[in-house]
Amino acid sequence: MKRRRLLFINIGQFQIFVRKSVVTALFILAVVFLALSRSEAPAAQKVRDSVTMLLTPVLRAIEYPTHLIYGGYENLTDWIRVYRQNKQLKEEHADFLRLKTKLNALENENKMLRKMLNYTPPADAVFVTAKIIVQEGGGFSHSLIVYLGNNTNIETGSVVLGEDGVIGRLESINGAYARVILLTDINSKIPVMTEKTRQRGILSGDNTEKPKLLFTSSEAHFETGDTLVTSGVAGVFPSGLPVGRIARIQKDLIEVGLTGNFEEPEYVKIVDYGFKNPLLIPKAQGDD
Amino acid sequence: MDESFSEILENQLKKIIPFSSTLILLILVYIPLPLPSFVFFKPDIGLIGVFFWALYRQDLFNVFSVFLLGLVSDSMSAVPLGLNIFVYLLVFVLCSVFGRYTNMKPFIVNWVGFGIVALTAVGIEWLLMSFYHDRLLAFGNIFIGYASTVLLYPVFARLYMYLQNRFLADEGALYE
Repeated sequence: MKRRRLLFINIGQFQIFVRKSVVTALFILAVVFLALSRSEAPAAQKVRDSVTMLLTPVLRAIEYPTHLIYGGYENLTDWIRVYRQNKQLKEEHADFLRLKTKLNALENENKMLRKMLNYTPPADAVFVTAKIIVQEGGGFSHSLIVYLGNNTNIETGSVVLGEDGVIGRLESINGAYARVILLTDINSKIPVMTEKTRQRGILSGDNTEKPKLLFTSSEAHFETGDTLVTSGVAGVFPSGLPVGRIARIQKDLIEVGLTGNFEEPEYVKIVDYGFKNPLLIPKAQGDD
Repeated sequence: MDESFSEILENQLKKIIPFSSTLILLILVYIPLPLPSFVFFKPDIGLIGVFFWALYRQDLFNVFSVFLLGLVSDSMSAVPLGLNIFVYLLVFVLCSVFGRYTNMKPFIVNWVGFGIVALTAVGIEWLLMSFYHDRLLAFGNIFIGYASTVLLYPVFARLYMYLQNRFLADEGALYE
């Protein structure tokens, strides 16, 4: 069979050359993207945000019927659960009433002491409940994309709470949507301390269900079951928010079981406490 | 004879079936479901789609489709931008080079072929991420993800085969 030629060029070979060049160019583009992500260049974030913005409305439309089906099953199991819980709640209510009286007294005492110390309380926190529309996890990353709607008061870095505690932080806001980096993600590092003994460390995600407690003092003594709360160091998270419990201690490795339910949530609470991390605030001109 | 507008539209829509079916499944897998630990077992739908269509219909599933699927996968997750693009392109190239060893062979050969390609892809992904974070990543959850992807391959491959045989089978059906 005669080979097709255009001037001196074999068309078949030319097509193969073009195909290989395109594949190579796209590989290079992928590596460029990786390099941009590594250097935290805004261009990489912009590309990611643009694609997310295009796809999230589609996801919102698809996930609605999915949750209707699951909702029906959940309603049935909820009825049974509610009956049992009601019985238990009546008993707990009586206990709470007793505690409430005690708390009122303590609150009044606290107010009085603050007045004496000339203490300035932080600005009121802004709360937003956001629906989860994308949940991803596995061996390489753990994040959520949530729908904020028209809530523009929330800022990047805000605390994200599940039902029982902190589950992550707001990494970026893109219009009505925001990306949440979960505590289990490899990029997550938050300062924590033990609730009782106030021993500090950094809770570092590693893409497993149990993040590790790092940078602890060599003199610190931890025990399995110790409750961890945010320490408030670095000024992003306020102190005292429940994070988890020490699940296992093995030589220098401390594994933490998280209290915030991030496996099956539908909504999360995003709280902007108005704390500003000095490291995240851009310097004004002439600051140097 | 001239084709009517509806015929032209139908033919064009058929041509995007490989890309659109993979994209839809890729998006669906990100929907949060109230199933405990489901996130750890999520299969890599993109990898399955890229392998299957690159193997059987490279005429309808070109390198740009692979790039776009990688871009979507990267954007929906928190992995560094470019990671899934790189891995999917690699799978596409592997299928182009070694596809003849599994193409038109019994399904089990195709499945084993996928297992090997997916293992290579996951290994490369693990290496890239370890370089990216300057530390070796825990392999446990990565292996769970790999295992679920390989185990669920026949389910998704069956779906793609149906689409291929129902809408795109101009040169004989696959595995029938």
